[in-house]
This record gives sequence, C-alpha cells and structure tokens, in this order.
Amino acid sequence: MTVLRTANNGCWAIKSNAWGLYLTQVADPDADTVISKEQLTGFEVHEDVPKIPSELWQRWINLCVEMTRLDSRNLEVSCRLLRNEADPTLYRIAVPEQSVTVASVRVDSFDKAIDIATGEVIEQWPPVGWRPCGSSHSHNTMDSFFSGTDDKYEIGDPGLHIVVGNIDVKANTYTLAASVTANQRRFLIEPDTVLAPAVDTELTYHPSVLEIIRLPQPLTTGFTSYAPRVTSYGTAVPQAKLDMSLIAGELETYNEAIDSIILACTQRGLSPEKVLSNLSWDLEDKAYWDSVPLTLEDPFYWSAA
Amino acid sequence: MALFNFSRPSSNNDGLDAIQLIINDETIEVSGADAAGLTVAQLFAKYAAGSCDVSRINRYVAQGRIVSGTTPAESGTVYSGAIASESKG
Repeated sequence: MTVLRTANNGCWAIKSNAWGLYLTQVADPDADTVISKEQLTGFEVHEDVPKIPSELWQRWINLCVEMTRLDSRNLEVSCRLLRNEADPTLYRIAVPEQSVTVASVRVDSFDKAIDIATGEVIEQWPPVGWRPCGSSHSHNTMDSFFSGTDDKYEIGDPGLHIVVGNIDVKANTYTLAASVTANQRRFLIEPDTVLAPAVDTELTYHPSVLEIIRLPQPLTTGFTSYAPRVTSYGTAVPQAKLDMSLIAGELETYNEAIDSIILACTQRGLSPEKVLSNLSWDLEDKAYWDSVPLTLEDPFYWSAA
Repeated sequence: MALFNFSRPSSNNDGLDAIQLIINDETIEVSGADAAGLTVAQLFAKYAAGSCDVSRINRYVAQGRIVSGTTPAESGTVYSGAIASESKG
C-alpha cells in the first residue's frame, strides 16, 4: 500500500473496490510518537522567560485597588502588556481609554492609551518598537477567574492574560489567575512563573491614567427590582428614557426567575451574589452587542493619516 | 486513472523568500510560494487563523508602516497584525 502524506490533512491511501478507486484515510505507518492527554492540554512555561518586574506590576495592582476603592460599586479596569521588540526583557503596561462597570470593561480602540509608569500618551497602537504580549484586568472584590467574556476576547488574542480578583482594600490583599493563550486555547499557569517576586516599592500608577477611564452612569431607572440597569457607553447605547412598563409582564417573569435562581443558590451552597454577578456580565455584553451592528468595512478607514 | 495523479506540495526552494506573520508574540512563517498571489489580509486569514482571531485584526504593519490588508503580500516581508479593541468581563 502506498501511503500519501499530506501537509495538513493526514495520511491517505488509494483503495480499490469492484467499481473503481477512491482515497481513504489511513494511519501513518511511520508514526513514532504517542501524545498523552496531559501533554496535549498542558503548557510548560520557559524557565528563562523574562518576568514582569514587580516595580511595574505594582503600579497596575495599585490602579486595580484604586478602582475598587474609588466607587462603592467596585469597578473593574483593564490594561495591555507590551514587550520591547529589541530587548524582550523590557515590559510596558498601557492603560487604554475604556468604559468600566462593576462587571465589565470595554475598550473601543487601543489607539488612545497611557503608559502606566510615565504617563506618555500612546496615539497609535502598537507603539513603535513594542509588541503587544497580553493583558490584565481586575475583577475587583470578586474571584479571579476567566469569564465567558474573557474567553471570547482573549483566546483569539495570543499572549499572557491575568485577572486580579478578591481585592480587599483594607487588608491590602488580592488573588491572581494567570494564563497564556495560544493556538486558540487557554492554558492556566502559575502567576509567579511570569511575575517577578514582589518588592517593597512606593511606585504607583501615573495619575493621568484615571482621566481615560470612563466611569458608569448613576442608576437612572429608579427600579427597585432586579431588573437590569442599562449602562451608557458613549454613543453606543443611547440613554433614551426607558418606559419599562411596556415590558412589565416580561419583567415580572424575569424577577421571578431571579428569585428562583437565588433560592437554588441558597439551597445548593452557591453564592447568589457571585452567580448574579456572572449573569450580569452576560447581560451587559448582550445589551452592548445587540445595540451595535458589527461593521465589516475596511478596517483602515480610521487609521489613514 | 487521471484522477489519482498527485503533485508534490510547493517547497520553500522556489526562489521566493518566506514571509513572517506576527500577531502579538506569535510568529507564523509562510513559504514564498504559498504566499504568492495573496493579499496581506488573505495571508493572515489563511495561515494565522489557528493562532488568533483574525477577524479582530484592525491594522497591519510592515517595516514600521501601516499597510492595507488588500496590499499584495511581498516575499521576504514581516507583517504584523494588531488587535485594537476588546471587552472584559
């Protein structure tokens, strides 16, 4: 049997039956490797990978803590990680212009970003000489983990992605979840494999980064039920007056469903607060994307000088 | 028997230099022959889709200059694709 080896479609052989010839897929007779599931799903961090310096990372942590402290709603915040092209041991953290809420962050363009250490304004992404290598965002007082929205936006954005969570402003503690995304997959890693050991430092974020973080609008619906609030994202979601009475029946069903979820959480030992927070992320995401038609026009219309 | 006359895949020894596609820290090398006739955006769509969400690439850069995705790819060139927006939850 002659085996036909293709570049991307495996091994094939010509098979004959009473009527003619056809191709059939066959095992590679020269196969020499068995890959375990653990190997297939695992990730081994390079021992010599340049770690993000504590002096830089602490600036970012301080910003996460400040966003938690700033507003009783415990706001999130997001940043981008950059690595120097000529010297990959050098990192920068850039805070892009963003809209933040208690459960989400939205960045429409990285083209306006501020260097967290120097306050330098970055007007074209990525800055010359620097290569994007990941991101981090805070979950404020909630757990550090990767949500469905995080997966949606990070799995196709290869690099290091870290969530900062369980921020306790008084105790000055937090937890981290770290991952590397590659090959459209997420690999969980230990944070200390990519972050240098913490050192005492007084360094903190440049104050100008706070100027490009848009805080959520105050609640305006006046509803006392669980009905979801609508957050303003600039012009994306117009703040027209909402006559919620038009969907009173549906809202009643919605509130009953929330009551049912809270009861189920209580009975099954889950935190209703965390479950509802998770659901609110999906709702916010859906509210946003349902209101903004995806445009597939020439993506360069805005970048031409 | 004409149906089962097979050809060899194109090799890198075709006189065309390989093209590098970079997205963040990931590099994908495409032989000059495989890249022939494709635009920059088509190259990323065909060869970088396994590494990133190519539909979110907003900008292509070659040798420090922004190039359109509709530009024909040139052999021996390094093209970077940049994702320029995101949401987190």
